[in-house]
Amino acid sequence: MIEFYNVQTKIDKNIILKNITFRILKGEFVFLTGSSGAGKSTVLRHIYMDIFPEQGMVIVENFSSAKIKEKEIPLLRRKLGVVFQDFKLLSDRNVFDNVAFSLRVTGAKNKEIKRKVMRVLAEVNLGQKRNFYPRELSGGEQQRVAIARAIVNNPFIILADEPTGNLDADNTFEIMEILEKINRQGTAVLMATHSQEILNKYPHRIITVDNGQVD
Amino acid sequence: MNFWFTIREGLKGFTRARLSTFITITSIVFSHFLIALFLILSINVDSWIGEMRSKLELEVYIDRTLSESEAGQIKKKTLKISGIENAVYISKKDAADRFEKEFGKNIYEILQSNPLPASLTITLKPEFRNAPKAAVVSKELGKIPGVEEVVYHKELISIIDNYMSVVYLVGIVIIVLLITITFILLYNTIRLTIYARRDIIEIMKLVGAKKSLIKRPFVIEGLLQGAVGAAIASGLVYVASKLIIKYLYPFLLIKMDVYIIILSMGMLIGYFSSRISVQKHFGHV
Repeated sequence: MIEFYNVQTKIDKNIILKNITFRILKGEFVFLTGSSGAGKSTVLRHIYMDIFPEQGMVIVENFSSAKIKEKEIPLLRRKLGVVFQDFKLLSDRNVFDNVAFSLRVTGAKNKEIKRKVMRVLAEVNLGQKRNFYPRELSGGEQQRVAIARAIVNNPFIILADEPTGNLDADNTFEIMEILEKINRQGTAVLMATHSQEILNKYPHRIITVDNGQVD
Repeated sequence: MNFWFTIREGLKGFTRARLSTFITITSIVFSHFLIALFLILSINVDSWIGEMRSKLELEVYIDRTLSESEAGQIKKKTLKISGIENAVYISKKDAADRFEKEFGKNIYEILQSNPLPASLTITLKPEFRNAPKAAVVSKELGKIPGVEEVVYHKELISIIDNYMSVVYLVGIVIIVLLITITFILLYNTIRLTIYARRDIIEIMKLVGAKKSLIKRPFVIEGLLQGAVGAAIASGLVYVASKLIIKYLYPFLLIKMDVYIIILSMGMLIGYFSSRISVQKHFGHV
């Protein structure tokens, strides 16, 4: 469902990825690890087609980096959920509206939005805080909102770029448990992390990016 | 749903980049108020000038040797010339009466005879009340056999024409300048709003919003800023015109068209400046 074939990528004339090939299967939980600047985020950006390989090809479900048209990219992204280290929540709207945002932009109906948002907020234990603004929440809670936003569209995979990078041990554990739960429900997870502790604690397949190459 | 989303997000833009939104709306109010004043001024000048032009008459003096019925034939011929609205026949006797009315003396008592010729007083259709067309009509009249002379205020009408073209030119230059300034200000405000809302644009892209949906709120925002500014300007123009009529000049003419022009201009400038701005700056965020 996600395949990298001999992907080589340059950003500003620097080679970031060198001839990378790997595959992520349906419902899999995979860690993407490597030191800072090794190219983990670049791998994720290829999947949501924010950048394109200079050589090789990335295939995500039915979309190929070689053939996708610009206007098809939003359709691809609606099948993915993306979570970042810095949460990327909108500070001018509350928890409910932050999560509802990704449904609103797809033109969903109000009734459907309410039902889906309440369901995912319950899943990340934030139903009680739906009227809170991001600044009123802890880091862990903010990341749970971001996860709720990522899963509200029923994506087939969650791409998480260092989602616990800004969190303490308790909150990290909480986020990991939520990601595990989502994965058990059938959604694949590709999580970039350089935390050895997490890698040791959660026994999933690991793809290591080192100097632009994977092993 | 997407429609309301666009409107809501467009309105939210008002609260982002607040200072520049405020400055832009203030400038739109100011420029549209000035444009409206120019329009009102030109409507009034037009009406004064129109009134002056309506007083333009051509005097056609008829050969003294012709009889009244022959002179009547000449009147018929003049009415066939295009551009002539009316012709009034003034017989020798009418001319003598008029002389007496104006100067208080009977011409027969002064000269023992009446040397005043019979004449036709010609008025022109409104579109012919300018120097070049009046000259053409005058020439045509001169060609009619039995017409001795055609007299009218040639210089006055040329002065009015020249003066009006200068007034129009200055008016157009100032209006174009004001529109350009408003356009640039709005363009820049939308640019600032786009940068101020990088976060929302990034998130919209990530969650799979179509490009058109991401861009539309900014265009709506520009349109609304233009509309709000123009509406405030219209309100001010309304109040100002009432005050002018009450305290300064009771004959001030003001047409509904001014408000319609101002409002549509505000919205059009808002729409196009923001569209171009979004087109230009969207790729950079």
